[in-house]
Amino acid sequence: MKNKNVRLLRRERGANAVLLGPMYLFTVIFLVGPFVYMIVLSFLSRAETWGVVNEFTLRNYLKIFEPTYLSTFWESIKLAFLVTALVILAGYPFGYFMAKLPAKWRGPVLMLVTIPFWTSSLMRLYGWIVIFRANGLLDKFLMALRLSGEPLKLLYTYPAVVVGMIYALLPFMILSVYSSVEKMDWTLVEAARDLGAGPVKAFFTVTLKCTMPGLMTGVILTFVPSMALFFIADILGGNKIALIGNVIQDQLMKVHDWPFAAALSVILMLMTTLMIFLYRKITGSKDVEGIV
Amino acid sequence: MKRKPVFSTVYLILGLLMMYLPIVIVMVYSFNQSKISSVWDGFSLKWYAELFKDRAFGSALVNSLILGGLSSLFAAVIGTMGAIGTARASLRGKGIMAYIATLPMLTPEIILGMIFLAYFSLIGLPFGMTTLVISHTAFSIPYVFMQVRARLAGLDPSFEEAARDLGAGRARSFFDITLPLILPGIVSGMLLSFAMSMDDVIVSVFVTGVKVNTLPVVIYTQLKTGVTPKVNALCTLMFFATLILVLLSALLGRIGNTKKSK
Amino acid sequence: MKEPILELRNVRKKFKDTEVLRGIDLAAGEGEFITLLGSSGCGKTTTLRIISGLETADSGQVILEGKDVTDEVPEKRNVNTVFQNYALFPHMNVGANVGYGLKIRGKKKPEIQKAVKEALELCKLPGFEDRMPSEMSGGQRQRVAIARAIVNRPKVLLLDEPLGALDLQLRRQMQIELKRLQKQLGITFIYITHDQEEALNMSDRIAVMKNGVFQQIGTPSEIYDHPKNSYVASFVGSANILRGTAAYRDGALFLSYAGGEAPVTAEKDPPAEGAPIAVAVRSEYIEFLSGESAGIPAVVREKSFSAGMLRIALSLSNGDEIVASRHGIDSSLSPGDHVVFTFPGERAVTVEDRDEE
Repeated sequence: MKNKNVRLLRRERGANAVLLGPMYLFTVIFLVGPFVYMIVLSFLSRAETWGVVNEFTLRNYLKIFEPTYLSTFWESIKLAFLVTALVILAGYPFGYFMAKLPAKWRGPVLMLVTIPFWTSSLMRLYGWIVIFRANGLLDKFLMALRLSGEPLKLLYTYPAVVVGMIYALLPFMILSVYSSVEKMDWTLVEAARDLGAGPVKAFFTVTLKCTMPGLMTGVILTFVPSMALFFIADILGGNKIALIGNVIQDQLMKVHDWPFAAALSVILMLMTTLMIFLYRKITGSKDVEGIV
Repeated sequence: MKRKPVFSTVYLILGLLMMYLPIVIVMVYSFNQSKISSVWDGFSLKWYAELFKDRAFGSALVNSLILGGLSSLFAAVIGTMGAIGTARASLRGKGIMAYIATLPMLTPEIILGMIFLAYFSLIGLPFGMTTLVISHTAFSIPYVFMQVRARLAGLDPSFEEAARDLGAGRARSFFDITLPLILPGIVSGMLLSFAMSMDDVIVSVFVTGVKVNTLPVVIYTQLKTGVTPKVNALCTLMFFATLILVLLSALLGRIGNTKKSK
Repeated sequence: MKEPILELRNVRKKFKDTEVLRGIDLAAGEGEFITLLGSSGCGKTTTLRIISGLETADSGQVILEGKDVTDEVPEKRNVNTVFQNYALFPHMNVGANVGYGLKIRGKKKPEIQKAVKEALELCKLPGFEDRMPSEMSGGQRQRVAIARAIVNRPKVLLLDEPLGALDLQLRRQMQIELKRLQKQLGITFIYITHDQEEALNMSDRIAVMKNGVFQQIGTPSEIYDHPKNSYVASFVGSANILRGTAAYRDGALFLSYAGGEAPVTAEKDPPAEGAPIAVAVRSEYIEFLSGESAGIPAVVREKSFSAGMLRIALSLSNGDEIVASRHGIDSSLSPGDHVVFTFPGERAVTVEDRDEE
């Protein structure tokens, strides 16, 4: 008699567990499967012409240390640091100011930031081509102002890639910082000011600490992706700038060395995982703050 | 103490202008008479006319719509059920499963593309609409999942308890109370998924195969080979389509949101 | 008492390792107003949730109208709850909220409309059917929550601190209205509060709760005038608890305490000479003596004024602190003054100095 209710509770829980079915199924078959296969693939050998041989090897990981790829890695990481730093510099104040706007403005500005974020990345990229192209809008503008005597020919240069990257990744930083700043308890800052901290000191000791989760989410969403956004390097950088993302794409689509592409992907995933791990360690939060 | 925040306002406005600059340029040039995009030759709608005549674009559009519709629908069902299950069921490993399910959001798209390419080859799934739908569903689930989970977290459990207390059974109280209250989250997640799918190039390039083309893939190919201003026109149209989706999604987000902002 | 409408028999509940309810027994008669009084965390909300079925007891029985409903799901129980935060469905208007229970029971639309109208009128919200909960004030939402519960004519209505979120004035007004409503409908109310004044004002019986057990169940006057133990005395009447030893002078019982003595009354069997006793004395019965009269010496520590009463905090030689109170705002005493106090023996009763376990 007494156990009937316990059973009822268990039944209610059981019914809820059924809800997890589709997600479990999909995740196991179409995510765990591919990710595991990626890891397996990274230890397999490449066939002479096409495809994969089921032979264990460390070649793919050792190949990363070949000078060409090592320098690509180095270049990618340098670019990632540069882009991330610039994205923080430009995005943190933006997110911060946005969260400090009067409530009635916050919603519309948030919308304005989100819209380009969800619209075609190609279209935005194409706009930059028009701007950067030799004798394009930027050149014409600068020459009209007599700031520059001849076309700068910025398209297919490093700065063009950096600008394109910043542009593509900035919204992630803005939105993560925004959500963190918006949640902040401002009485803490007031307390710090009250205790004698100047505005700058209060910012670094209190505000920055409180918004660290948002900042770090932004970094997670910026750093590794900036090494992987191959099409920006492709389109704005011509063939001159190669990132890990470009190498992966080439290995997949042109060279057909899938195991090597898999090894590179594993490295990138490890970097992402490491950053998420650091995030959890530092913020003590289990979730990476949503950008949605 | 209260100063006029001039600097921050200027900063925000300049930032927004920069964000919209490339978009506006593309839009403007879509009405350009000239074929060369750096020369303005007068207003014209001819690229729109040509766009509508182009069969390749038409079929790509249909493909993209089917793809976006199916993948956002699947993502909505799987993501919603998953979010409710994660919040309410006690099952071992649900945390790690939820983490893996949201992983595509944090994974660089090229890696998603590569693992799907490799995996689908491995299991022998023919590339085409099926593989597109599966991969797009995969990267869409996190958006629905996170939206619904946020809704559920903000939902006072006493609503459903009150319904039970008033005589509604488990299912009834779910459909009468919980579902309507999380519905805006589901729909908004779905719309975002649709927008993501309509915009995706990277994953699609890898899993699309030879027979099926989606709009972004067509645009990408054109950008790499040589652009006709038709692409400007197409991008402009897509921008407004996405704009409507995002606005709808935001509107829905606001309607059902019972939490008052501080 | 007639056949009780609701009965709890030795109900126990554990959350993880904490025993929240440690054997609760309660019998509520038809139309009775019973208040569960206690500070937060004492188990009163859990008790309520076990009655409504939103929580299940680990052991013991819940009997409703003579039927064992311990294992019944909440929707099958003829009880309704007014939630602490009201839990009005935010996506339904007032009419739909109030009519929800009837709709679930498959009642016809005109019938529902009529019942909703009556219930809203009863709760003094006539014509509010089309309003959304978000457009209403806290007090109005409160009334909707009550209307939504009573429209189903439950045998027992459970109210979880329903007035907690209202301001003092509104709370007083709602106390009166709730009492009126309860008389009018003849429904048994199980009412939760941590406000002793509210409990004393409204209840037929009060169950004082601490640590998952009832310390005492009784009418307001029983609880107030004859507290069973020191906890009830201090919680319900904010009485001073003086812990000293028993002494007899000419056969009369005295409390020997903090270097002085004062007369007291034994509530139960008279204690032996020298036995430790605890005595409850309400602040208003503390009298100051002039000159060298026999009493208990103290030093005035602080004077404060609240709710029409002057409160005088006294420090005693043994380190205890007690409170005396007077009507009005003036007193010749000032902090630092040495005083001697006593109290009428019949106003100082011995109490058990341990909680019910």
